[in-house]
Amino acid sequence: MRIYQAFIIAELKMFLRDRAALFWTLAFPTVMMVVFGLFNFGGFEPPEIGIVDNANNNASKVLVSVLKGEFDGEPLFNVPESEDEDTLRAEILEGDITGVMVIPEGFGEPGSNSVIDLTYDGRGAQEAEAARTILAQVLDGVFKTVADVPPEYRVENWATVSLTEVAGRGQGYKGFVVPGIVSLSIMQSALFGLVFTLVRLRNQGVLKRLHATPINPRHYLAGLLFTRMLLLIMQTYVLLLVGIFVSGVEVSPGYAMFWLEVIPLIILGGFGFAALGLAVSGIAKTENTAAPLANIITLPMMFLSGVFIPHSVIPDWVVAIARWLPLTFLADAMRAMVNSGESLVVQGASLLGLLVWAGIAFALAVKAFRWE
Amino acid sequence: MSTQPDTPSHSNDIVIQVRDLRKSYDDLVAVDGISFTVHHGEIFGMLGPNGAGKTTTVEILEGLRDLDSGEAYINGLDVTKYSKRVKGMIGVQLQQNAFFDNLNLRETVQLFATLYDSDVDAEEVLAKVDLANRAKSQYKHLSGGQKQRLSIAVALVNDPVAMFLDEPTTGLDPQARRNMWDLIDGLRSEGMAIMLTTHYMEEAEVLCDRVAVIDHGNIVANDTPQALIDELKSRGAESVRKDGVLTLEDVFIDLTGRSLVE
Repeated sequence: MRIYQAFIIAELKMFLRDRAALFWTLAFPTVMMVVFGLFNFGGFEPPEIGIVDNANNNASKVLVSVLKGEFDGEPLFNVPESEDEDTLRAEILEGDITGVMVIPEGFGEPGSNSVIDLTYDGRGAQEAEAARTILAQVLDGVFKTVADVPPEYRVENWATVSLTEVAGRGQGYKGFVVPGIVSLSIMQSALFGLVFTLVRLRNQGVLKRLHATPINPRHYLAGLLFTRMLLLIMQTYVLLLVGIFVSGVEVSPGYAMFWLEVIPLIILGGFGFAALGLAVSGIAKTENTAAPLANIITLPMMFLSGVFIPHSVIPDWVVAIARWLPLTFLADAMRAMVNSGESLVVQGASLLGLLVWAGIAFALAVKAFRWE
Repeated sequence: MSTQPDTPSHSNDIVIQVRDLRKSYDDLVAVDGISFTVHHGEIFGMLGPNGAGKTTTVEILEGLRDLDSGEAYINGLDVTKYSKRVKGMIGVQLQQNAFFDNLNLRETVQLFATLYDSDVDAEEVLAKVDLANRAKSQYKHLSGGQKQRLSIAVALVNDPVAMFLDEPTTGLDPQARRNMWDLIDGLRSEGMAIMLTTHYMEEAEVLCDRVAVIDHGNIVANDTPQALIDELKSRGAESVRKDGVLTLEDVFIDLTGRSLVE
């Protein structure tokens, strides 16, 4: 026990004295979070708007087809499957979609002056505004020429859009990217941290000197991993606070237990990536081979695990593979907890995925570990 | 000269004992059946060209490598069967010795004391190697000589019966080398059995009670430095030096040849 303790204290001291490492652990993800928040990649996607067609006539069918992009293949709205008004309204409150538009009875019929109601999540005001503009343009331009409306009945404002704001949980792209980058940072910090520490210590001969003492590898590695986990928890807290105060994201609304429940998630995810780092450090001979190897593992996950690129814009066959990646499991669970205030206990599938990965990585690490 | 096995008159004095040790790496025979003993209060030097098998021999004794065949004992304990216990009772200075960059010297000594389950006083150990005034400096800020002295300090935390020094003065300036010699000499007077490898013949002549010259994995000579020089002189060999004085270096070249080891 004394030995574990001694290593943990020594490791903590060393990490805190390594100012450069400390800085990059926090600065890099913070910058990334702010920059991706500014880019608003989500803005390139069509807004997610549910459609309830109460008219169900020629005119409304044309309008829906245009919005869904069934004429020229470019959807203007991302339309969920459900057409039930209550279901869709509930989805707004959950933050799953930005809004719902209701086409009234008698829409587009001669003499009518219809009002299309667009109910939207107040948090997605930008997306809702985009949706309103698109809708107005469609009504104004395309629809007039396509729909079967006799010219004599065409009047200005024959159909208008009214806006209704509700308080939902959607946080837009910011809400997507903050938990994504928090998860990405856990991977980067755990994996690269261990790889570079171990490869350097091995090349310097420090590990060999430890091997000459009467300890077991587990004495040293347990201390190293334990310290790493503490740092990951600290790093995650700091980045979530940056998300709250800089990016303006609400973290786990209405569920304060999140701040405790996130710890086991960090440890489970972090342990797997640290073990992967351990394996890489055993396989790579020098820092020059370790870096590319670590990048080969992390780069695809960075882009495919839904960290800052949503799975909805990635081809389905890629997603079918990407959903099994460890970072996907971590980011999914993190996002569900951060965005929707879900509890850790309902993240069973993601936790199981992480557990399996941690097991595989640990087995690899034990096989690959070398003192010299 | 053939390998001359030791016949110690007081065999209970033996600390390190090696019999017919063999070790190969794939096709390369590193150690090809060597035997020797090292006694209490003795400095035993192992000399040989690069790749002769010095470090392999030392690292087998230190429990860092397995042996293929033969026997190796420290204080009567089989180093292969009881590697953890053996590691606990020896002091080790590796050829490429290094410690954690961001720990200071006191913390380093304390950490290693814990690993050896010893509660030695760090300041005291550092004072022994004349580093008490650097106790709060981080390892990365030490000079080469200070780093070597720290590695001796760390090797002392468990009050070892045997000390293994693998090229302890390589890369040091003459002052630091002399300083290290004094330190090693002091350890002998405490009764430790010291096994030293070096490329510096002068160092072996000054420090070692006995030297073994090892070449291609075999011990080709094992005696006191003076006896080896006398033997060479009796064969009428000539020194490389202008004053004609024969040194251990002449013995070394005579035994291991002039061709370069690449």
